[in-house]
Amino acid sequence: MNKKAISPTLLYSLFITHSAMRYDVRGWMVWLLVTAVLIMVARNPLYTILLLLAVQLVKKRHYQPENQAFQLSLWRFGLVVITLSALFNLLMVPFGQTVLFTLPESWPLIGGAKTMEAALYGASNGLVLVTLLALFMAFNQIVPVSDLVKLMPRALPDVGVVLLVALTYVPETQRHLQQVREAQAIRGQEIRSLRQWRPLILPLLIGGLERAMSLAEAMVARGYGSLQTTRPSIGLQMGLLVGLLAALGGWLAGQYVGWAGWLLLAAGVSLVVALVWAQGQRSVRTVYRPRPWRLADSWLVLAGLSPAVILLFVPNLQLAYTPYPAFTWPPFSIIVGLTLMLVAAPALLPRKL
Amino acid sequence: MIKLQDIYYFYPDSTTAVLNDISLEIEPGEFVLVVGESGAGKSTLLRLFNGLVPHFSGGKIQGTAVVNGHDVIHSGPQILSREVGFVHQTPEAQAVLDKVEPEIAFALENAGIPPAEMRLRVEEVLDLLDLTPLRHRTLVTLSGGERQRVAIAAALALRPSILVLDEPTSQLDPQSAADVLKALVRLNEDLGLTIIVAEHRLERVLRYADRLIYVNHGRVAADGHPQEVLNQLPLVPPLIELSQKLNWRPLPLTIKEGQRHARRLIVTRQPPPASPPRSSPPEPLLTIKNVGQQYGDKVALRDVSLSIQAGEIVALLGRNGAGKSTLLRGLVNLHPLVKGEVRLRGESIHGRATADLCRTIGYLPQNPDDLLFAETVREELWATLTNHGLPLDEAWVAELLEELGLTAVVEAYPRDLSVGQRQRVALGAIMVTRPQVLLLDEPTRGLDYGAKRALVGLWQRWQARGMGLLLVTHDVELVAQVAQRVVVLSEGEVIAEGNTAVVLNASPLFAPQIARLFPQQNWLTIQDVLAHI
Repeated sequence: MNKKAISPTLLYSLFITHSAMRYDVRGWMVWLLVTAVLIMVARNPLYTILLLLAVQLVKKRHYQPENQAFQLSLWRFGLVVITLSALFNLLMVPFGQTVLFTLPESWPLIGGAKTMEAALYGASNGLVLVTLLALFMAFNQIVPVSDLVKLMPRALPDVGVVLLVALTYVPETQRHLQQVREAQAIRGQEIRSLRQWRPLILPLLIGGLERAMSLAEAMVARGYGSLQTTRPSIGLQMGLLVGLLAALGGWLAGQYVGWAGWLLLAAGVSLVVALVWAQGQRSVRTVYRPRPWRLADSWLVLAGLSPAVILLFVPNLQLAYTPYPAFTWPPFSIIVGLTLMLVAAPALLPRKL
Repeated sequence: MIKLQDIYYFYPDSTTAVLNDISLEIEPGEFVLVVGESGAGKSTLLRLFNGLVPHFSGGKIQGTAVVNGHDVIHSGPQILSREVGFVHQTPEAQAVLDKVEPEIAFALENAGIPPAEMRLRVEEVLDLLDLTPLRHRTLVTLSGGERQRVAIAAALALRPSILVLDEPTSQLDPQSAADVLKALVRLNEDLGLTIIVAEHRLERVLRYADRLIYVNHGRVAADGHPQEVLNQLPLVPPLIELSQKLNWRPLPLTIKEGQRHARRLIVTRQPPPASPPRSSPPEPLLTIKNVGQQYGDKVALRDVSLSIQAGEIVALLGRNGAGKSTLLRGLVNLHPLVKGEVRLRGESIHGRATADLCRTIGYLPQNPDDLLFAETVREELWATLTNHGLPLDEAWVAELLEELGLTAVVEAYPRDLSVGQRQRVALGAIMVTRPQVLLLDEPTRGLDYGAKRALVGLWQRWQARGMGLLLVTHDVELVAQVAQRVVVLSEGEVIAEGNTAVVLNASPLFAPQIARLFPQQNWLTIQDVLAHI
């Protein structure tokens, strides 16, 4: 074989058959969940920046231009969030040793020594928030609404209506906001302070409510939830309640007593999932153009899971970092860094199957 | 088959009956047109047919309602969705998913239709509504008419035998509306589908209907063949009004039938319109010269020039997307024009802020609800004055409200009012700064004849006081009635400009009913006809 022919493209074609189809939405869900957990666990600004880059890479590769997604300038928003978060922490948190300035002790809440560590900790929290937002924006741009709907719990059609309304709400509201802003500008309204929110928010909220109502009406008129002939049984409702309580109690207990609590949490969550799934089996909703699970979907799941799995095998794993009590540079492990970059692994997969 | 008997219905927390003793029967295959003022109970009646009323809306209901053997009051909209397809007025607000095919399949998925059959049914409705070329498109990229056809397809996927449509064309331009109506006629004639449609623009639907139901204050005020019921309606399209005045029998419902009567009229041939005495034309109130607009690479306006004189109403016509709204938004600097010049009484308005400009150039955007936020109608007008830093001249506000016909509701919450009243409140919030020019973007959309007539009266009064109005609209009957001049835009360019009669008569697409009835004359309105025979 000609040496030139062994290219990445050829490698793909070994595994993946080409057709203009999207990846299974469940594959993207795995990626979303794993990445979200990593972002929240790896509280080290260096790692967070890596994760942010990885998420952007995946978005760049896989976004669908026709998806009407939530648009926002990440730069501008990020700067605002990080600054606000740093300021807030600087003023409110009295810990840290590198004192920048001191406010009189008599001032309520914000009096005392203000430290660099507090500001840095605030900024890195802000960065985590921005990265999470970037993740959800990327997911929103990759996965079309019609695919997401298939993920909705079939057992609970009411929840489905609410989720769908919420999904379409943000981009629609953004469009409407522009219209309302113009309409108010015509009347000489310039929104300068929060006191003048009313002309903007009120038409926006009411318009949004009206839209949500007509969407819900359209869904009902087209038979959404029609196969749910019986209401969820008392047994199911009680089961769900017990499961949720167990999960909540387990989570709280886990903070203090350790593994026994986590076990309870896991049991509670499993109970809820099992009940919802079992109830869903009783609904006979079918899927238009059901698509088989493809090899490429498995690759996506694998790519999504890879960073989490590999991290389990890193010895002396240290993901979290705090600048308290005195600032030191955040530690950076090459192995962890490389592993976290695996979040970008889906960017290596082809755009379309 | 639908059978309603002694139906009374009250919305939650309301003591007035929205449906008041309604009994009627609708046979399979009928094409029924439901008419009545806004708020008369049309929408409520239509929503009763598929159980949205009372199951979705709540409230109290009495009487019996049976649709294809199902008792509506006991079985809800989910069960009735297989019998009755439902489409409402805004295409945007009823799309559940984002693409054409999944949107159509949505109802089928809910009904648990096996995938193989589902494919077949989706193909079927795509063909029925000529949507095959659009099947993979995203809904936001479709025109209003196309989206409305997708909504109809989605409603038909479950093969209902009844299709109910609540003002399906009120948000569409004439061409899209015609497409949608043609689709309905085909469904009715080829498949025998029962069609029940509510509509304000009678002239669009009348000729297709077998039966007309006039709803007034929640009662069926008249019900029967269109020719009989039309005589009991207070406001009718120009063709019908003229026929009634001239006592044409049988009442013509189409232009073709009307022309037969019209030809028999011995008319004195009108001399060509005497060109108005051209004593040096006064300086225009608003001059627009060679303006251009661009969004990215897309040219939205190209060298558009027009002028408005004091005391003149100019109509701006054109397809959706021709650049009409873009021009208005450019004039008040919401999106600055990239080229050209706009002068107000000879003075350039270049670079002036929107808020400042709107004090002299009033602009009413398409959706009046976006403007309204105050607690009462009066405060809505005050808010504009406060924004502009103008004194709260109570006498003037009272006078304006009186003129707008809102004196009885000054203390009411604006959003509780009817569509027509809300439109007038929004107009008041714009007019309170006494602008010299008024720009109106589709001000009669979704209004009934009565509300429309009230608006026309207002404009004509303001025009007499020397204001200049620029009216963007699709409603040629309205243009024929009020405009002195017409400008037609297409793809951002002016393709026709001139005297209303000349421009409207030159194009069969834009010709109002009276012009079509008397193609040889230069007539536009009933008054023109009556003056000459």
